[in-house]
Amino acid sequence: MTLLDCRGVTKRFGGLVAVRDVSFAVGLGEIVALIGPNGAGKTTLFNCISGVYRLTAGTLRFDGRDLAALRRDRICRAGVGRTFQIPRPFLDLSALENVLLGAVFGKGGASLPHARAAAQEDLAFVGLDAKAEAPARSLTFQERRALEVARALATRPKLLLLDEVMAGLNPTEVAGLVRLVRRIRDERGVTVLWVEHVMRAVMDLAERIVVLHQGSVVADGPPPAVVRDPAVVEAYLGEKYVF
Amino acid sequence: MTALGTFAQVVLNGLLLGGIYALVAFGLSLIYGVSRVLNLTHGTFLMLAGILASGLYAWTGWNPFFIAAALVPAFFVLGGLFWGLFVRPNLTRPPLEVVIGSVLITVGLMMVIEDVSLFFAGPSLHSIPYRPPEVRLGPVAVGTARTWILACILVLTVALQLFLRRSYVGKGIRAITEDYAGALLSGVDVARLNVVCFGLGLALVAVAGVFYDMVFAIGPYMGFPLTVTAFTVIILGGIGSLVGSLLGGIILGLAETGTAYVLGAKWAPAISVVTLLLILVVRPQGLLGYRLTHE
Amino acid sequence: MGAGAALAALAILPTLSSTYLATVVYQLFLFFIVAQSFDLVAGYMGYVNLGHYVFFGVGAYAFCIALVGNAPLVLAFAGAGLAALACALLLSYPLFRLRGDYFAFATLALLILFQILATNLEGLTGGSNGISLPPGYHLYAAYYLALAVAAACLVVVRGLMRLRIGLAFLGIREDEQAAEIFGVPLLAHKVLGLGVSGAFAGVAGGIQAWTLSYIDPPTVFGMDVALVPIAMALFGGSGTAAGPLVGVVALGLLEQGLWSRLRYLHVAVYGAILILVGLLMPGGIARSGPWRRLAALRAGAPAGSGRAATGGGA
Repeated sequence: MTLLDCRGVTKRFGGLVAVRDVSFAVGLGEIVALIGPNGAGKTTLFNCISGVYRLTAGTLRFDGRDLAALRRDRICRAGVGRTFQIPRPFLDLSALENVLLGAVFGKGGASLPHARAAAQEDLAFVGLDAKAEAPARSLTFQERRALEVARALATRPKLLLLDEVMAGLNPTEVAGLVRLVRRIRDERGVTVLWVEHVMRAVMDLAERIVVLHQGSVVADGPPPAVVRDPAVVEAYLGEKYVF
Repeated sequence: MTALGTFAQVVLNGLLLGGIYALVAFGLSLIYGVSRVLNLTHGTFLMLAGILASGLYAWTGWNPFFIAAALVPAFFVLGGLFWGLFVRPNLTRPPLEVVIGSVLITVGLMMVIEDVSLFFAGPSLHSIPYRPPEVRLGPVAVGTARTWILACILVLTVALQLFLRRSYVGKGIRAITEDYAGALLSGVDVARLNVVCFGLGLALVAVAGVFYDMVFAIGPYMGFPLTVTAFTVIILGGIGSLVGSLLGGIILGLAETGTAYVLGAKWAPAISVVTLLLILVVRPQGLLGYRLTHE
Repeated sequence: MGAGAALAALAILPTLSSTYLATVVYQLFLFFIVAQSFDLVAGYMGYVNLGHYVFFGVGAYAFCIALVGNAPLVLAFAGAGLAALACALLLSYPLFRLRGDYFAFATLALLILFQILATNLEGLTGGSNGISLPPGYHLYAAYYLALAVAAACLVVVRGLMRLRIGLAFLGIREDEQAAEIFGVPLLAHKVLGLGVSGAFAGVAGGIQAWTLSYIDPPTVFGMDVALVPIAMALFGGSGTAAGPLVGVVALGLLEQGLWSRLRYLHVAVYGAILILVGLLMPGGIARSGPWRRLAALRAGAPAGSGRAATGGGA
């Protein structure tokens, strides 16, 4: 069953076409990776799906609803959650309060006492429960990354958009995060659409890969096929990946 | 006076007022463009210059153009001091504190300057009644003082434009106005340019203050409304655009004299505020569509 | 319960002390209502409404117009609050299209606009002659009314910040684009904040008009009076629980001290204080080192980060 259906999605900034006629679908329960060189339009596409940008053309259907017509907070309550590439927590609030906001105003929509408990759980899920009362300002970069994921999870999304969560992590940390993402799908039933550059993680985790190049989709399929696709090799990977 | 004569008089007054507004706006545009600080005291400095000038004129009887020229270096230095003492210390702070800090500082400074001016000069209006022999062009009275003022404004506009386009310093200023980060990366000496811009900004305001005194009159409470007018002009014309400020100033000047003529003088001061609010809400990039780099 | 004791003390003050002291404290109540309602939007939601006093002025005029029209007193006060609320709701739509500095500046410009409107719409407001109310001595009634409204304001603001609404405000203050993406409906909350804050300021304006028995445009829209409560909130510490209260008491007492010593230049001294605070401690008194150490000693715990949060403030 299709959860997210992008058809002909186009985003233009003045003369620059960042995303050009992108069509692909994400099925319920899938873990789909979105890869491509810098400037390919991946984050722009995320911004379109989460409502930060308005589409120039095309349609976005999510769970049967037209996303492009919705206000950003309604998109969140419809079940789309996201992390930001550069973590942007609410610096003057505690880690718990950061997560609490999503728990209260997201799709879960809980009252404060319930939301507090749920937020604690989400923090524990990403391993940050010890830091619940710490001001977000005091968290390390890696902890802020984890907080981004917890915040998104707190909104009880059906679809989670992860924006380059593996960047800057060492192999052990990457492996840990891969396990976490898998748990997100397996234990919480969240579908994952994920922008990534760290190919090791993509190969380990993704069930399907969509490749963007200069704003357009150049490949869409299971990992083994995509990494051997000559177009993908030429545009991005550079030489054949054999794992 | 005939209807045409009255109409022409209103237009000329509007152009004159607009030209003065443009000068004020040039100053503010320089200051805001290079520092992105909402300088609420801008109009207050105009008022200060106007009151100082009228005091000097009453005391010495010098030609007011000469007084204006004398005030220029004084206000240039004042501008540099203003930046160094009140603006620079506030810049290196966390974002929420910067806004509150600059509000506190500029509002406080506004209160100090206005109250001190009130104390020394009293609450009434001051002007410089300089009347060289009049010249008439047909049915219209073209006071020579006003013609000279218009001429000065034109010269200053051209000079400023040349400075910004041709000189090294001017190019640095335009670079910062357009793209702060890019200018920094290109090695532009931001601190030095800030001093120059604040100095020039206040110098221009001083000249505008003297002119305002000659054509109209200045009172100690006029500071902030003039600041509002100045911001209206630069937002109307687009920040960073000299031509835009000139156009914006003229439009606003004409609108004010026109409103005063049609609805009565009591409604004229409302024009700036209403225009400001409308523009900010409907078309914040101004009439000429200059894109604001807003974080 | 320190609050209960303080309330009791304030309640019996007029009977025990001089009229002069009661008047001073009464003025502080009004300052507090305006300062605290301002800070709901500025300190907790991040929108510095420099023109907040507009609501005070609208309330004052609404009160006078109602009273002159022979409305009963209670309705006049209610009208003051409602008029200010309506004003806040109307202004929300254009104002909240602005952010940060521009919002602050535009709201300040509103003060000028309203002063002009009050001066020019003579039919409604009496123009520069203002409105005179039938004279009467109501200080004690006004004192208790102001105390009640001030207490209510404190309770409402603290209460709001304990609810989900408070969390939304903080999110808007910290990063409103992110807050929206996490599900916060922005405009609804902003309008709510401005509305509540405006209503309180409006009632305060009505009370002030009642005791003055006369208002005119500069009295209620003049910039020198309008910025005082805001300065108090910022001086005490915007966004902290104690900030507006501390600021009102500190600057209020300072002003009392100044009046007796200086015949002129009060506003200049005020301005100088604002400049110093802006340069040296823009976070306000309640965020300064000495204050936090004092608060920590009282709470018996090491000083924390000092930020305002839901469910327990600094």
